[in-house]
Amino acid sequence: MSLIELRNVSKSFKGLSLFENLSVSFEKGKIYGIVGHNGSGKSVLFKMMCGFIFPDQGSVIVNGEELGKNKRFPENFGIIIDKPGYLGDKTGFENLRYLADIQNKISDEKIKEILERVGLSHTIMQKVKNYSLGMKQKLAIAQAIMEDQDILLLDEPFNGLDVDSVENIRDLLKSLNNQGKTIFLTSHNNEDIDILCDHVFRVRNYSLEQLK
Amino acid sequence: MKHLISIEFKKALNKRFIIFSLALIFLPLIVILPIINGSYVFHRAIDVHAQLLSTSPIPLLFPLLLVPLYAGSYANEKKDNYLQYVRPRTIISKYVLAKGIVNAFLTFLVAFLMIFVPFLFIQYIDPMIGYIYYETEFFNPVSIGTFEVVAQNSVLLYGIVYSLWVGINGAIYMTIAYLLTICLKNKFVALSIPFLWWFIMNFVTAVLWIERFSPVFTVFPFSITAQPMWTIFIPFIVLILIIVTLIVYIKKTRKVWNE
Amino acid sequence: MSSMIKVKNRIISWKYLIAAIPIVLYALSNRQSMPFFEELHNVTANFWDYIFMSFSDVYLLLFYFFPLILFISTVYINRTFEYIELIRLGSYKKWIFTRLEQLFKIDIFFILMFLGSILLTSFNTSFSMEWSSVGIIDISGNEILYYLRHYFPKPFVALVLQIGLFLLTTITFQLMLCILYARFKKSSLLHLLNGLMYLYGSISFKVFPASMKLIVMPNYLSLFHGVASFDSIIMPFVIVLSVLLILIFIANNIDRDYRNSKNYLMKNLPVLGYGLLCLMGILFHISKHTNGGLSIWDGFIVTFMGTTNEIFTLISFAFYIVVFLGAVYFVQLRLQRYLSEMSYYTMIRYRSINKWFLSWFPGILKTITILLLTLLIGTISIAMLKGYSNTVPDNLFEIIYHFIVNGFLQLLFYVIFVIIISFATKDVFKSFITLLTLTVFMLPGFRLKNLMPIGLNSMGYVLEGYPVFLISIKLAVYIAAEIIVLLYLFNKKDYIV
Repeated sequence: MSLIELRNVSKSFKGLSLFENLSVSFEKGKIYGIVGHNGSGKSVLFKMMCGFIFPDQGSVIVNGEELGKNKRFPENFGIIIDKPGYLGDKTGFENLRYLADIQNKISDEKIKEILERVGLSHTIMQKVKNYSLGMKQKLAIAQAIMEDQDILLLDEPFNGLDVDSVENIRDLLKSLNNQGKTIFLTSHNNEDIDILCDHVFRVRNYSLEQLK
Repeated sequence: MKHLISIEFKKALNKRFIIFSLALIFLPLIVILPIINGSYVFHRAIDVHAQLLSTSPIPLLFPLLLVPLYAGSYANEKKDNYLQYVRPRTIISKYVLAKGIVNAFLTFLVAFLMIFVPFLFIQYIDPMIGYIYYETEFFNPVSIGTFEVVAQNSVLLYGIVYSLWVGINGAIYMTIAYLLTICLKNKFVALSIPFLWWFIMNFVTAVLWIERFSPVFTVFPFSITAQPMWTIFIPFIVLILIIVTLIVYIKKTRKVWNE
Repeated sequence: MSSMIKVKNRIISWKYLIAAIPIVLYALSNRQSMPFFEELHNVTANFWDYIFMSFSDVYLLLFYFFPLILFISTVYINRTFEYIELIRLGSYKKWIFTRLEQLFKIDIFFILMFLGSILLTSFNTSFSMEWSSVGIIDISGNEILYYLRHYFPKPFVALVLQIGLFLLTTITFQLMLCILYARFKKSSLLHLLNGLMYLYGSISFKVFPASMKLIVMPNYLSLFHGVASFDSIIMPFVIVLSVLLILIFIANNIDRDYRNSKNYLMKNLPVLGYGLLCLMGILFHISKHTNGGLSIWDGFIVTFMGTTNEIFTLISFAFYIVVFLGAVYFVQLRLQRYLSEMSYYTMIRYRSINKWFLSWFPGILKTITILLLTLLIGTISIAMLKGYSNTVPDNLFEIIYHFIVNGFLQLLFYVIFVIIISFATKDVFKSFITLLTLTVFMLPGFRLKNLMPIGLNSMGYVLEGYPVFLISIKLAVYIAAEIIVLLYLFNKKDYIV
């Protein structure tokens, strides 16, 4: 059984047709790259996969359960969607704490460990409104992985990161994949896609073309 | 500066703005006039005009009705990160000032017309149609309030002066809303404060038995006995002081430059 | 060392028994005057007369007994303060409540001593569980027994309540002393305060007119005084309890970082402002009709009159908007946070948007309920204090039902309405404008035969005899429709910020 399956999915967004009768399945434990020109529908695809948007036709099945039937959001998903959004007057740690408190799975130490892993440990007392774009992006990555989520949907995770941070995050994603996590990412940088991804799809002609 | 102002006008005068303004200007006439016609005893056109305004939601919701015009333009552009693209192209303070001027002018214009157009219709057009019913047998007009003294000089003067007064007040409230969107991060709070002030001051002045200084009775003084003219300037001066304070605060903290 | 600490911290000392001597002497002198009174008025006193003559005596309580307890409490607090203990307890809050527990024991000891002293002087008096005929005589000098007999069917009940009131007041003051000591650590300040309280007690007893009953000290020490002043058994208790609750709140927050207290105040300023406006409106309406012969329930209706087809005043309309739509404004402020760009990251951690919604919505329902109850109790209390009569109307059930149940349903309608608009448009301000525009339907001429679910919880409907259950049904139908729309939005519509 595939991890995520899109069956005959069609979607128009703001009057523009993005996908027509798209059928694709994704296996567990791989890293998938989704590429395509701006406005091709990569973000919409991610939002459909995690339940924020419904397909006009067809269905999205995650771990055997159709989204929008018994549940809307699949479990164990870590996501980065759109531009990072936070409580600006709180610190990075506090932002993660508020999110972690929802499911109450992890401790303060784990949050600090994650902040260190993404390279934000030195900013633990700094308010997010004073973060640079790259730091906000790292915080986005931190919230996506902190609860050991099995499936990661990362829309442009390297956006705004310096060279060293990109290297660091690539290593982080590889190690997470080695632990069995399934990762979906988009990037306009071919190098990120080439280095990390097992399979690459391009959004084209209202469908996904497998390139690799 | 003129160029920036003309750009702002182009941005502001879109379909949505025009439809909304026309609704504000004409809806009271279309909806309220049929309700009050025949239900009250009218001796003069200005009685009809006063009753039209009193019966409409305009006095109660005055600042709220004007907010959607252009007061939120700065906040919207800040949210969408548009201002960062403006910065390399012009002096940001001039840009913000131009926006403020356009906001004030447009609000003034719409608020002015909101009062003046019904006045023109009732005073000059209706006599030709004869739609409104006037009591002619016993001529016993009731004072329309604080502005009665102006009407006794000239009805047209009353129409213009009173419409100007409402227009200016509208512009002042929306300027405060605009300045608050610069000072405060929260757009919702910034835009709701002028209305909250309007409503809460109405309530507080009533509770303290100083209703003649309430915002509603100084801008729409129809449901209160005629007061001396100076009373309407008290809340007005307070609002001017608020604007001055906000401007000084914005300049001192370099709010616009540090965004 | 530990035995020294034990001695130092000893709560009760046999030396305190010396304090009983003045009480015994005072009680004996009271006893002396009774035979003359019995003969003059041809009545027979019993055990309870002798008890209450001293136990409810304002002079004894206000000028001796109460100040004595406060003095001993101050000495005890100062003597027993140790940083070692404070560190072990972990916070000033714990220290305060530990100390209060010990002071409570002192209070019990002293009250028992007081009671014992009076009992001592009441021996050889006739015992009965009923009042004697002395309490029937309404003359100057016999107020204690007259009023107590008038308000309490059984003397034992009066005694229990007298002890209760005195104890409650004493604990309240002791808590205040503990808080002040925790803050300033100066016993001189506490002694100064005790001195000022002594002075204030005397002045309030001797000088303040009856209209200032709220701030007259004896009303909270002597049961007969309080009950006679307020013409109510529960009011003195309610007032002292309110003060005690405020002090408990302060004690609970005493360990807060004061540097952040300004931020805390700023953060809660809107709520304080709202509370102040509600209070202003309530005081305005209640004061307006004082001496109008209205009952507390009439005053309550007048305060929350709102508007109906037949009833409209600008001030009632304005107050309605301030109270009820003002409450919804705070919901809108909260909604803004929930619907920010952070919403993706919070929602994904729930099974569905429904679950996400249910994680915070019950809190809003709880707040609505608390608000309505606070408004009800607050208004009734203020009306009582202002001298409105306690007459119970025939339609009391309708009044309370309409305010609480229909008020809850109406607020629920408003809240779900703004949630729908905010969620659908992703702009909370639009919900603000829409809701306020709908208040037009509360104006005369726009009510549309009460079809619109706006302002239906106005108390004016009770005055007009409008069936309150019909209003509940109307609101319930509208709420059901809203829920359907909300569920559709949550489960069928795309969510995009």
